[in-house]
Amino acid sequence: MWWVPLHADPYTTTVPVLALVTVGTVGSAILLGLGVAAFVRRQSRSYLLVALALAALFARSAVAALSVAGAIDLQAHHLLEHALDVVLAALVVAAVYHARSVRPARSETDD
Amino acid sequence: MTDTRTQLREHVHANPGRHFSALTRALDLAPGQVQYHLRKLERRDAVVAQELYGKTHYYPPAFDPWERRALALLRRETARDVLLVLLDAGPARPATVAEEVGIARSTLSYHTDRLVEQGLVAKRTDNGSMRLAVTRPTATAKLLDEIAPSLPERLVDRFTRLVDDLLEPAG
Repeated sequence: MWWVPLHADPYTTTVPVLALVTVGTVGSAILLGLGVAAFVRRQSRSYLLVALALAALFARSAVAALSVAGAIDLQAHHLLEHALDVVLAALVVAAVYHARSVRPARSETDD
Repeated sequence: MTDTRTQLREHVHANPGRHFSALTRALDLAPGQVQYHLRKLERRDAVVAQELYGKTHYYPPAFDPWERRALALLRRETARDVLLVLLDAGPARPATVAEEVGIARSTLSYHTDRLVEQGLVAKRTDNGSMRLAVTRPTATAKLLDEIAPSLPERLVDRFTRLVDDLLEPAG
């Protein structure tokens, strides 16, 4: 691969990459925890979709971490990351769409 | 071992209404260990357990059943905000409360349902419109003063506010 300089092996972990992957994984794990706790509390389909979207976000970080560790090769890494982008976008769109279609039916407080 | 039990008893007394997993986290103990000592403490009437919405909360024996249920709900920031508005303004319509607290109607209805179920808030109808009212204002104000939600509790509460806000059609 002529465009990759020899010393820039994609698996060589530089300090900034390691720092970004670590912070990203911790951050998305916290978000996933919040999403799951909120779903457990509310038990609605919208909250399930939001929790699943956050799980996809966390999976993205996990793929990055596994790539840094060398457990996933570059090609699989790209395929997984972009597939997870599609899943994430679809889940958020579904959550928004679902909220819009059910909310009017369940306004049980006044007016 | 006895130290752990004393520590656990003191923690429950200092933080009435904490649930099982929060105790495990706060004291950095194994769940089995916490369970064992809590059972011993319960048997000696040093702590009282109360199950609420799938979670077991622990209290010093001094609290009566109403106070125990109230304490569990008062650990939720939004429920507190709703009660503060009602204590301040007196009986109010749900639309007014949602606006005052700055939350979506779905957020309010979730919290109101639980506050009504546990006897903290009552729904009253006068002149054909429904109003929410605090059932025991003095006792509620005293308990609100006594406890504060922890950081994870606050975060989950704010997360649901945000999601409700984002998903709810405006108006």
